[in-house]
Amino acid sequence: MSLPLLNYLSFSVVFILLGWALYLPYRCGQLYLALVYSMTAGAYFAAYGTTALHWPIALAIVGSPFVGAFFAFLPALGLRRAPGFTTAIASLALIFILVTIIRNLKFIGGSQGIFAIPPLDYPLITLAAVLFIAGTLVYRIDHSRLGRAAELLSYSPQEAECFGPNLAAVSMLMQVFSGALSGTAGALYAFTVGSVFPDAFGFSTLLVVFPIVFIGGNLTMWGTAVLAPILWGIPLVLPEAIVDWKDVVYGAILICVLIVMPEGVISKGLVRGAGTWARSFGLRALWAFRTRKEHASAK
Amino acid sequence: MEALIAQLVNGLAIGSLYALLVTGFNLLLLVSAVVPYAYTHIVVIGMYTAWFVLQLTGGSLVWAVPSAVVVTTVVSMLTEPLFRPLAKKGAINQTFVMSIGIAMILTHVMARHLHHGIPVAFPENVSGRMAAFQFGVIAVSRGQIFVFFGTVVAVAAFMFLLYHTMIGKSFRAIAQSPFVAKLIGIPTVKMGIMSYGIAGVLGGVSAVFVAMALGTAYPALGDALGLKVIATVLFAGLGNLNGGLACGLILGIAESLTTGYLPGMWSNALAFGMIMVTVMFRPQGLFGTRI
Repeated sequence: MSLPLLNYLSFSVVFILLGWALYLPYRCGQLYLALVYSMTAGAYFAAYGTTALHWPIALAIVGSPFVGAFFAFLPALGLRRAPGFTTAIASLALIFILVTIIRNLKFIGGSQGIFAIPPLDYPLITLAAVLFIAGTLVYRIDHSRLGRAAELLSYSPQEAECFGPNLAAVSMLMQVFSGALSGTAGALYAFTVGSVFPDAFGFSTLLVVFPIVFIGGNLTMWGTAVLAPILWGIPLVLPEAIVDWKDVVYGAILICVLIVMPEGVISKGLVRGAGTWARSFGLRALWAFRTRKEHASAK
Repeated sequence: MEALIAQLVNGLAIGSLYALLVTGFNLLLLVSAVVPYAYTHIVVIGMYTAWFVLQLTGGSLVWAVPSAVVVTTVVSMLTEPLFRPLAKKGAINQTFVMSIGIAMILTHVMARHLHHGIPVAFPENVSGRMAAFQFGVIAVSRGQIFVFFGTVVAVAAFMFLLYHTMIGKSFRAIAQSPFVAKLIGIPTVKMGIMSYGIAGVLGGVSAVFVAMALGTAYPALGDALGLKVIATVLFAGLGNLNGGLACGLILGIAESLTTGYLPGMWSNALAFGMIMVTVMFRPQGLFGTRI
């Protein structure tokens, strides 16, 4: 497979994971922006483990979600009770704190970072496996009591409290899951790019994830999964003169979608409708198959 | 001791800038219920406008300052219709995301179409970095004096508007309860638009002071200032005007002392570290939330 195509697929998976990491806490009504913070932790864990400690790549990939989750757990102890917008800025603060600490730690490269990170041995299989496992986790959370509690929390925290879910625990769990997804994204990023350095992780990464989640659909997981490859891939195929205006176009689409379609392009209604259509199509296909089989056996 | 006083002087100048930016930010937060992350990007557009007018007029501040104020006011008021549908629903998180979209567009315009994205440097008569007073290590530049006292005058004028005029009374009424304000006949939409205009005027004045303090403008400055301003607002308490002024000064002094006494680039980490600690123990901010 060609290197540009492999890079495209790798970054698509990275941004899908980051999009899901933003989506999960948003289900509780929290704009949790510490994705890049956990991504940095996961990336440096993977980079340091494989270069300085000579770990196998598989160990780094398996360990990165736990590292990301741990890094998300620590501030979640304080942020779980913070109101929605406060969480956004406080979690954003974590990026700057961690990046500044990394810049001053010489043993992980300081401002220069870590280079010569080995590439993935079986990139397609690894990407597919990571995406499948992460997608299954997000789907199961969405369709579980935790997901329903999170949704209730986003509509009305007071009503949610009356029904029993522990609001702080739900918020914290979502933040930890978000950290796990971001940590994995960080590890994949490190193995794709081959190097990590502090300036690579900043607010600008969030500016790529925001359009993906809020244009794609911020109330379902499918919006991110569909739109991340599209928004990442379009600039690669368009002429440079048009690609130069990418930020303006994404910003304008983001503004229009927020006003006209606040749920995003792929809304919950659309997903429900697609599911109903798929089920009815499947049932009709099954009925047609059985009918044909009965006619064939009757003959 | 002299070094400490020198850092305190620097800190007061930077802190007064933050205080002025936070005031404009809080005005929009209180009256229009939006999180205007793009506010500092509009300020940087004002700085670029001032620079272009200075180049065209041969360094005339008489033309540059009003031009910056007019441009920031117009751009600010142009964003009002975009925020109105979300502000009506009380979707504060989404107003933050919307303002990020606006910031992306403004940053692109500055990076590609204003001086080809190359940072601009303001002439000496604007940046005023020559020392007006010197006592050993302590040097107080003209720019720092203008910034500090100019901020005091601007904030005093704004507070006069807020507490001694009908417009200010309307703003306070809407900030307290938009529903009741509408019931008693205050034109909330018109006042909302006016708040964007006044925030734009404050932004234009801020643009001039930031140009004096930093002496340069570049496309990424909007993001750098925006994050600091939002952090200060959160540190003080969302919508708390007096708290915002105090915390702006505190942050400026803390940043200046950090830069002067700690090795490495810890000033950003310090600013955001203060936010994290405050939010963890006091989510409503140091002085309490007003929204």
